[in-house]
Amino acid sequence: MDIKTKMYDLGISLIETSKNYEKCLDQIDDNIEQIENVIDYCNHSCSFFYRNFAKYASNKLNGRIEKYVQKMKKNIDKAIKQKNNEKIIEIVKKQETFKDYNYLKKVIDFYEEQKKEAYGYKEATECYLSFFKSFKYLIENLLENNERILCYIDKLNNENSMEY
Amino acid sequence: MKKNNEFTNFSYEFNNMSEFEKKSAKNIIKSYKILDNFMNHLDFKDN
Repeated sequence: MDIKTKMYDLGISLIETSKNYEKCLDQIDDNIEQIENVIDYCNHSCSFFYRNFAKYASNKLNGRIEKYVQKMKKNIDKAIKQKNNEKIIEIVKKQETFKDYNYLKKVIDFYEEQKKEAYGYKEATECYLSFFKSFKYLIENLLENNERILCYIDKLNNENSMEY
Repeated sequence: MKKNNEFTNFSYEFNNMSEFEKKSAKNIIKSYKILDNFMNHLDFKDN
C-alpha cells in the first residue's frame, strides 16, 4: 500500500475515533453536572486520613495525565514538523482500539458506579468529580491531537493532488 | 490493603479508615489504575 493510501486510511480511522471521543465527552459532562448539583448537599465528611488519600490520588492522576498530554503534544509536533509519516501512523495505530466505543464506555460506567456509591460523602464525591474532570481533559486533548493530525493529512493530500 | 507501589505510603492511614472509606479507597486506586492503563496503552516510544 502506498503512503498516500495509508494516510487516507488513517484519516478515516481518526474521524471514527474522534466520534467516539465526542460521545464520551457528552457522557462525562453529564456526570460532572450531576456531581456539581449534589456536592453541596453531601453531609458526611470523611476522616483526615481519607481526605489525604483522596487528595493524593486525584493529584497523582492529574499529574500523570498532564505529563502524558505534554509528551504526546511534543511527539506529534515533532512528527508533523519532520513530516515523519511512519511516526504519525504509529501514533494513530495506538488509538485504533478506541474505535470500539465499548472500552471507553466501560471506564465511564465504572466511574459512574463509584460516583453513586460515594454520594453523601463529600471528599469521596469530590474525588470522583476530579477523576471525571481529569478524564475530560485527557479526551479533549486526544481530540485536539486527532484534529491536528487530520489537518496534516489534508495538507498532505492537497500537496499530492497538486503534484498530479 | 493490596500492595501497590504508588499508594503504599498510605498503608498506615488505610488501617485507620472507616469501613466505607476502606472500600472507597480501594475503588479509588482501581479508578486511578484504569486511566493509568488507558494511557499506557496509548503511549508510544519517544522519537
